[in-house]
Order: sequence, then structure tokens, then C-alpha cells
Amino acid sequence: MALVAVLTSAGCIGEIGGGTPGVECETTASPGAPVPMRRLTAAQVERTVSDVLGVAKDLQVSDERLFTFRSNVSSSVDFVGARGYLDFAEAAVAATDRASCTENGDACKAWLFKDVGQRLFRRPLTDAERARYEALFGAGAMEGDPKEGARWVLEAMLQSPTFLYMDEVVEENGYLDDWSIASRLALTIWGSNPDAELLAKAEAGALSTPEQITQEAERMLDDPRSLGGLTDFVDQWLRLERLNDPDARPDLEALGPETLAALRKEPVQLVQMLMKQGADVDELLTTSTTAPLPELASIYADDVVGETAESIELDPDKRAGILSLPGVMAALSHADSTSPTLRGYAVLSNFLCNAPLPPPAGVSVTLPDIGEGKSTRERLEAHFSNPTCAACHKSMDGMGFAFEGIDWLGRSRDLEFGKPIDDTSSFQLDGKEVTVDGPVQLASVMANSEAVANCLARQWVSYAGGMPDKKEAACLVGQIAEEMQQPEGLRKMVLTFVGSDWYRRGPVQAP
Amino acid sequence: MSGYKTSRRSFLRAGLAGGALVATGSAITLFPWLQAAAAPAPKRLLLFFTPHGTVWDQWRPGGGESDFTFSPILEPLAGHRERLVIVDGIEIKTGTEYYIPHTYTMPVLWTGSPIDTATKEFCREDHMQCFGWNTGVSVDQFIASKLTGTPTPFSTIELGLGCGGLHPATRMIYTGPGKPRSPIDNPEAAFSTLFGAVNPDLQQAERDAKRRKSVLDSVLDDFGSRRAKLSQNEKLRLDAHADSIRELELSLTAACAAPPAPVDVNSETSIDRQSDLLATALGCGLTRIASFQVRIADNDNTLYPWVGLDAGGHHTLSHDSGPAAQGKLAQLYRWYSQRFAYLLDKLAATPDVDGRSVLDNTLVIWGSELGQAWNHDIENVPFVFAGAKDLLRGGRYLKGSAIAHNRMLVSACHAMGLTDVETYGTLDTGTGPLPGLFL
Repeated sequence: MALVAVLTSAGCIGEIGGGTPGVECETTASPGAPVPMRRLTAAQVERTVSDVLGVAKDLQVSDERLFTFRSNVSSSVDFVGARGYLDFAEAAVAATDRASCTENGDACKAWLFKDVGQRLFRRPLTDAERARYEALFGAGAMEGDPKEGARWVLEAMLQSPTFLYMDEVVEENGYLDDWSIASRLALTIWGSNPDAELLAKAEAGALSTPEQITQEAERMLDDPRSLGGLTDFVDQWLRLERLNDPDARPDLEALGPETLAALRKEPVQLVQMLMKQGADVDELLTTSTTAPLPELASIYADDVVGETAESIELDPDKRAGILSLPGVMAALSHADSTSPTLRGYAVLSNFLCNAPLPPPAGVSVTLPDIGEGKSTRERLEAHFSNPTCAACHKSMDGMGFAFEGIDWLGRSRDLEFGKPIDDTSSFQLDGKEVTVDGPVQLASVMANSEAVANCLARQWVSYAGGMPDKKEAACLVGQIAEEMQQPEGLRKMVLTFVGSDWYRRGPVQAP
Repeated sequence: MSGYKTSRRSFLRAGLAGGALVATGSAITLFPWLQAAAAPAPKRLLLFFTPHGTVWDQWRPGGGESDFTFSPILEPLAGHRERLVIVDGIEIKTGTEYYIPHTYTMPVLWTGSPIDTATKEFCREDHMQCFGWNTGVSVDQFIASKLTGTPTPFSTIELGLGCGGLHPATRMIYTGPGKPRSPIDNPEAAFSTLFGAVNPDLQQAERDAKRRKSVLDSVLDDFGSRRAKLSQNEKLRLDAHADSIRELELSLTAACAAPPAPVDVNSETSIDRQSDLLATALGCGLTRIASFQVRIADNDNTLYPWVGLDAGGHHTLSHDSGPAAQGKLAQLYRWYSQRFAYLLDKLAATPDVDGRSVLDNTLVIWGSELGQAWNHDIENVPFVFAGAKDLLRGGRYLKGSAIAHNRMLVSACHAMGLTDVETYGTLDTGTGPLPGLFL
């Protein structure tokens, strides 16, 4: 099978040159982030319904791919979208336990209007809404029984714009009201809806100052539901969906659903674990521990050197941080071969915010045939002799070579075609030529790079802000990057942003 | 209090092809086939898209206008020779100097209007360019808005195949500036959307219809109560969503006698299964205007192992001008031709109300977002026209150069009876329909 170098083109994370390190901060108050009205992403809708109604169903409505992350800020719901919401609502409600809806409908209505309604709408129902749903409940109950009434109401709630869109209210002072803050926090940190406690704080007006907000965000980070928001962030940032793309990796299905799911979940669980431990960004890049996922035992094999209930200790000479995780490495490979190109590109694009340009039109991307039994590295180096290719590929592939000791399933390897792996690699970092020997050295070089911390801060601001980060946020990004390198740095990444002016300001109302 | 009432028109009137089901009250009733051979059949339009252009030397027919010989890529269409016009020499202009023709041409293909480069919603850092949606209306939607007579249950139907997330490079149909319309991109969803109202248990069907109407009316009320505090742009987005729900309400109470549900659907067969559904939908009058989008215009790295494309994916390979890659691509494009031929076969096998076939009364246009993929060329983009027996001067190969592609869109308008349309879209560099296409 021909080994094919791949043309990738990443989405973009905002405007070029945003968030460069060392930006002079002229003011501590950032302008508001100009986020238009957002429609929840499919993942956020699914998670909310799972949390509130206890049913897991797939929502078949497309999200906008604005940049690295999904966020719906420009499109309207078209016919297919409306149909997708209808199908989802009907399937979810059919599977919902409506046992409280007995002949005396009071308990049922309390459940619908106080509990479910408030959590789906992320605020209390208005009197008008309540009256409308009362009428709908009555009409449904007439057709059948209170369970049928509840069905009608729930189907309407799940298709309501109040549920599907962020209904953000800006107060006189230009900041979001407490209900809107509660919604934003829940979607950012949990990828889901506010819980009763968060709603109670909104009602009490206890989400009005940066201190109150960061304090609440602390609680939310410690809650297991934080896995939701982290999944949306990490999974999209590292483009792990490729693991489930049969066109990209037709071979992975053979691993079985448990192993594949574990490959995809591990990076997210690692980030959550490190946050709990109070880790900083350096540890994210260099740690030799990982989250306990027994499904990956066969992939890690001898790389596991120790185990506790909370974590797994990996061979520190072979594994370092989030980049060398099997799922990340497998996502950046082809079926049956590694891809130093994809891996190098991902580091440049996702960790340095400096994506190389795509190849010019008409360039052959089929690697020259240099005969059988040659290593992946040798085959890629063969196209360095073509200056058109070398211009970009030397930096991309050069960086990717560092991972050659990890194969296309994320397993460690010493040999390829019986010959020892050469994973020395040279590339440009912070304007200097750097040479490293393997992924562990690469990770330690990256951990000390300002550009990496800054890029990760930009990724987080893009995700949590719902829009590509803007030049105006450069000062805030720089501040977050600095905090990320201090103790508790990963938590501070979240807390600093949600406590910032940028996050608390209402969307700018374009006329 | 809902400001919206579901329209309860009877689709029985006015020249609708047979077999449609419509709501009367809230029940769903099946029409018998209209035995109205005297009725003129409706004129129809079908737009067909496949990505990344072609391999020219394998696509270009030999010979002259009427005595042409089929090329390797187009040869699967030989059985439809008399119903085809193959056009060589249509040029697409995108109105922008932006670098990535895939992304900028797909939205232009059927709209004849440029993308929005003032809005910076979608960014490509690797190209250092940001852009928005298209600024125009695609020709199918324009025509649908101008049709007179009894409205069909679906104003238009968009089917597709693996059309991905919402992005300017993944949507080709536009109801208005900034308003892309998604295709239903898998056969199971298409079947349930187009034919799902058919339930042998009539009582259950009636209960479903009643519940859905009440629920959706309540949802529409919700939209009304939110309007006051929104910006203009947000209002427009919500209005469009509410319009989609009204459209959904209509579609829920009208259907055809259901064809068999698609079976054995996999990555190789789903394209034909969509064609089956499309032919049935057109034939029974669910709509007069449809489109079929195979995959997407940018970074489509689909594998087609059954034609030997088993690594790297279509887009990656299409950048390669080497003979090995181009040979593989030609195999893929030949397979597209086979699938297009299958679609024509199905349309030809579907009887129409005038006793002829649906294909006889449908203009089918096959286009792409590029002419030649490896150098992103859009100065010559291949088109094939088919069907429309009383209109298309079939059995011919037309060769020109730099023909403005907007004229192809004008031709579509003329085919559907809008003969006063002389230009289409805001990029217009051509006037009048394509020369020599029609009788």
C-alpha cells in the first residue's frame, strides 16, 4: 500500500497574530467578547438531556466548524435542523421515565415546570410560559393521561428556542445578569446545564463579582460533571474525532468499541486528573502518569511501570505528557503507518498556533518510491530533496520524527522493518533551531516554551468564548498563559478566564 | 395564542403527480394514483454535485457535436446518449482572489454570487483568510420561490451523502444570503423525513399528527415571545428557525405511498439508495425541485476502496498531478458517472402522470466545484445536462470556452418556465441561457 503524505488543513483559531507573548497590557479591563447569540452545540444538548432526563440519545443536527472548536453563532436552523430537533425530542421523551405523572397531575406538573423546565431553560419559567405549558399539558392529558400530557410538554421544551439558544441578558452596566453567567459557566465547564445549586446562586444574585464567579467555578471544576466541558475542549482541540472516522482510520474499528472509546477518552481524563492534582501546564506536557484505563493495558504493554487506584505510572523514558498518549498518536497516524507529517503539523498548529501553509497546487503528495523495507523516516526524508516540499516539511516532519518510537495504535516500538527507530528531530522553536532525541525531550523543550503556554491559553479562550480569539484579547491571553505556568496552572486557566471582564461582558449587540 | 395556522391545502388539485398523501383535518389520507394522462406533467429540476472536478483527458469526449464518442469517464452514460448534452468550456468566476477555490467555488456554483469576505466568521489560519457564507440565493431556491400553482408538500428536497458540519465548503444550497440549507445526508434519515408520515396504523398516525401540531404550535409561540429584546441579526436567525418549523409542520402531514425502506446501506451503496428515494419523491409529487450533494468541496478525504482508492483520500490524491494519482482519480470519476447513470435509470423507470417517465420531465444538471483538482482550475468546469425531453436538444457534445457559468443557471430558470430571467446572481458575466442547449 502506498504511503501517502497528507494534506491537512486545520481550522483556524482566530486572527493571525492574536495573543503574542509579552503584549503590553494597557488596561486591566478587556472589552467584551463580541459573541453573537449562540445556539447550543449538539454535544451540549445531548449532555443536558442526559443530565436532566436521564436519557442518552443522538442529536443529528450539524454544528458550525468555525475554527478548531464547534460553536453555532452565524447559521440559522434550516429544515433539516428542525427535523433533527423533532426526532431527537421525540426519541428522548419516549425514553424518559414519567412515573411521577399519575392521575393527580400536581406532582407531575411540579416536576415539569419547576425541576425540568428550570434546568432546561437555565432560568425559571415565566408566567406566560407556564400558562402555555399548562394548556399544552391539559391538551395532551385529554388525549391520553397525564403521562401523555407530560410527553407533549417535554417535546415542546426540547424544541424551544429558550432551551436551544443562549438567552443572554445584559444589564445596564454592560455585564451579563446572573442567570446568563450561570448558563455560560455551565456550558463552558460542564458542557451542559446549570444544576440546582448554580441556579440558586443566580437567583440570589451571587454571581455578580469576579470573586463570586471564580469561587463557583472552583466548585464546578471539582464536580465530576467537569468531564463534560473538558471533553468538548480537549477532544476538539486535539481533533480526536479522527479516531472514529472510517475514511481516515478504517483499521481502528477492529480494536473493539471499548478500546477505541478508551483511546479517545484518555486525553480528557488526563487533563481532569491533572487539574485535580493542581498541576501546571508543564506537567500537562511532561507527566509520566496517566488516568487508569484498563482497556489500554495491551497498548501500553511494558510501558506501565506502576499503578495506584488513581493513576498509572508510565515509563518516563518513553512517555511524556498529553502528546505521547496512544489516542493522540493514533489520531495522528494512518492505517498501518505513523505520520510524522500529521504529528508535526498538529504540534505546530495545536500547540504553537502556527499552522504551516498547505502545499501548492499540483505538487505530488505521493512519496517517491525508494524501494521496500525502508523506514517511514527514510521515505519522508526522500522528499526533502525536493525544495518545494522541504520548505514546509522539514519543520513539520522534523518535529514529527520525535514520535517515531510510538506506532499508529499508540504502542511503543524500538524497531521498524527490523531496524532501530531513529527518533531524533530538529525544528524551529521560539526562533531557534532545536534538536531533541525522542518524545520525552521534545516535551521538556515544549514545556519551557512561552509560545506553547500562550497557544494553549488561546485555545482555551477560543473554546470558552465560543469564538476564535480576537486580537483585543491578547493581553488577557498573555495573563492566562503566565498563570498556567504557576502552581494550579490548569485550574487557573479556567478560573482566570471565567472571572475576566471579557467573559462576563454581554455580547455586543450588532444593530 | 399562536399566530400561525397550519395550511390545510389539498394537494389533489393542479397537476400533482399521483400518490401523494395529505392531511385532511389531522389524519393522513392516501391518494390513489391520479389517472390523469391528460394532465400535463410538472416540469422539474434536479441538481447533482460531485466534488473536485475531473481528469480532463479522461473526461473529454472525442469527435464532434453529434457524432461524439464517449470518454472513459463518461462511457457509463452511453445508454442515455440521446438524453444528454455534455458541455465543455464553462468557466466559474468566484469574484474573490482568495486562495482556496474549493471553499469559494462550491457556494458560487449554484448561486452565481460571491461569498461574503467582509464577515470573518470562518477562518483558515493555514491560509490566513477569514470569510462568511455566500451572499446569494441558489437557483433551485429562487425557482421554488417563483413557482405558481399548488405548492408541493416539500418546496424543495435536498439529499446528500456525508456532507459534514456546517461550513461554507460543505453547503451548496442557499435560501438567502447567509442562509445555507443542509442536505439530508444519509438514506435512513432521508427515508424517515420523506416517507415517515406513512404509518399503517392510521389511528397512531392521526395521534402523532395531532400531538406534533400542538407541540410545534407551542414552540412557535415561544419564538414569538422572545422577539422583543434581540438584535436585528438575531431576530433574522430566529425567524429563519421558526420558518423551518412551519416548513416541518407541512412536511409531517404529507407523504407518498412509501417505497420499501432502504436496506443494505453502506458507504458504497448509500449513493444509489439516495437516488432511489429521490426518484420516488419526484415521481409522486413531494416536490418539483431537488438537489443531490455527494460529499463536500474541501478536504473531502473519503476513501473509495472499491475503485482502488484505499489510502490518503480523495482530496489528498486530487492535489497530485502525477500519472498514478490521476489514473486512480479517473477510476473514481468513472464510478461517479456510473452512479449518475443509475440516478438517470431510476428517473427513467419512474412513471409520470402524462404516461412518460419522470426523467422526460426533469432537467438534471451535474456539476462540480472545480474543473481540474490538482491546480484548482475553475476556468473549465465539466457539466452534463440530462432529461427534459421537450426541451433539451440531446445526443450532443458542446465545446466552447470561457462560457460564464451564470448562463447555466439562467438555463435552469428557463427550463422551469422562468423565461424572462436573463441574468442570474451578482457575479453575472453572461447574459441569456447557454447557447445551443435547448431545442
